[in-house]
Amino acid sequence: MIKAYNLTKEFKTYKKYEGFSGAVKSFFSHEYTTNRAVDSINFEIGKGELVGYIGVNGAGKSTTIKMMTGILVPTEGKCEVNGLETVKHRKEIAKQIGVVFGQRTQLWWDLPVSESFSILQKIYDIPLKQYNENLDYFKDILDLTEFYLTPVRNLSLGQKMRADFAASMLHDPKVLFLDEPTIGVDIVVKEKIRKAIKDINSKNNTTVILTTHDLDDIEEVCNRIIAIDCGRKIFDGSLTELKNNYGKFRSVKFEITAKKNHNLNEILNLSEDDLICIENETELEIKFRRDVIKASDLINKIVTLYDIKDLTIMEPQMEDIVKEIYAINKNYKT
Amino acid sequence: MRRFFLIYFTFFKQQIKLLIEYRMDFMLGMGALALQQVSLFIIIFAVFTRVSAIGGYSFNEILLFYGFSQMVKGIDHVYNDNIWLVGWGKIQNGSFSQYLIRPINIITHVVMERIQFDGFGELIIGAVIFVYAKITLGLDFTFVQWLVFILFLISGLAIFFAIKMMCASIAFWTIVSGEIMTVAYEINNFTRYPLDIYKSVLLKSVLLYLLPFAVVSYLPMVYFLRSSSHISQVIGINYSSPYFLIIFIPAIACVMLSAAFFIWNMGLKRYSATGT
Repeated sequence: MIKAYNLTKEFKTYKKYEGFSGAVKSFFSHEYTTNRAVDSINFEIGKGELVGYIGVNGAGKSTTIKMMTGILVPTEGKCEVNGLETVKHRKEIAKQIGVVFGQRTQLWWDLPVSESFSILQKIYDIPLKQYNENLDYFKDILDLTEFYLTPVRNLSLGQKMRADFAASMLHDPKVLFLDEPTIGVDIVVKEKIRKAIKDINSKNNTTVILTTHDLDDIEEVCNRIIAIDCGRKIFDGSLTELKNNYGKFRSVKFEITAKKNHNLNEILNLSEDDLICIENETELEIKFRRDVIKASDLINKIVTLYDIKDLTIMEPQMEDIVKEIYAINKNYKT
Repeated sequence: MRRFFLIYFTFFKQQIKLLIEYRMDFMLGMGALALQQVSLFIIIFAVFTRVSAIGGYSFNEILLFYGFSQMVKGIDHVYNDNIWLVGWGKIQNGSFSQYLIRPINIITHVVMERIQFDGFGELIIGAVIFVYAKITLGLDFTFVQWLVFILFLISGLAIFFAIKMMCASIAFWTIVSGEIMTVAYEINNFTRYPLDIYKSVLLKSVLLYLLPFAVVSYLPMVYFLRSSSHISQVIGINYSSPYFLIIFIPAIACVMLSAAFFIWNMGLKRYSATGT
């Protein structure tokens, strides 16, 4: 459905100097640095996949999305959507894709949601029957009815996001690009949007690509993850694969009565790569690789060594996994 | 084409609703424009209390130039106002991106999105002045002359369109180009008076070829007022055929439009959306 070949985008940034005299200096200097926001990315996304596109701020997520949707022209390489190259077939592709930019509404500021939708119906040339069906569907699933006749400028962020989401789906796009669709909205709206994404995917087999910083989005919605950092792809695989490869560390937290400073690495005969412990007066936290020692064995051992008041086992969090991917990638480079 | 009108009509309906919602703003906007025009009219009138002719043209002839130029400006103002925003921030704040994800032509989308009703004030006052001047001058148009008049009007609109589009396109490079647009647009004030009064060849050339506002209002009207030999002398092109201007004016318009589309498309490739 979507193919990226060697996709690259470079931006020129002119060298800037600080302060007022710096501004004057910048004005006359033409030194610039080229930075690659997206650096030779390759991937192929099949029909009906739900892909989470993740990365830290400035990693190049939005730039990739913009190239895939035809907003930006790649510096090198190309991107195909449904067999059409994005740069050459902007209009045809526009009909087949839906785009939501979480930070920016594509509705008309002064118009009520209803009117914005009716303009989109004309622009996308959506048959009335299909339009009305979709409208009823989205009104239902996203609860649009209460603010359907309100001008967009008066909507809350969550309402705007829902309206925007519906707007991008009215023409039944084959691919849906969501750039931070849950940014800044409360948990209830997030749930609604996630549900709508899953629902549409199962109903129309719509391919969805979403970028987000909310890892719950990914865990709940996506079945594939592509991670990028500094414009390069650093991971591409399924959610389980990600968890198996990266979420190797678990941790157990004990509440203890006294500090004893046992050397657990020695006692358990494990290197510091496999087990790390942090101990203070009241708490003992042990991080360990789950493939070298079982949690139950570890706990049994600790119980014999310490006086334990309470304990909690912490499963790897998506967040930690992502941090780990980024960290490992950093090590590669240096 | 049918679809184009359908979309345009939908936008139009919405604009009418907005007009009703923001009627105070509309009244003030139109009032201010009307006031501006009346004051310009008074200036022309005041000048003619001192002199009997400007560059060999009588009061009513000058009014004819003025009326026609206001008509073109007014129509342009009504339908082609949104492009100002491309120069004034749509590229800067990245909201331009939304045009690129829609399955219709970008420039048509930009144009359709806004109808500026304030411009009707200019159009109506311009038309009234034009008709008044035309009657007092005893200028009677034959059917063919009316066709030529419409051709000139369309060419004028095309030139306005092209100049605004070119200036807006500069924003693809400079992020904001509103000032350049404003300056270029204001040049049209030079052409309220006949080209005859400008002695500088450079200024004449600018007004004929670079920012051809003289082709918008002066040339079309002088075509009806003066002989070919007189005009040929003013614009510095040797010609004798009475049909020359009928070709020359649309030709300039076509060249300007082509250049504008070329620059626009070049800019689009360079467009780098800001932010996330």
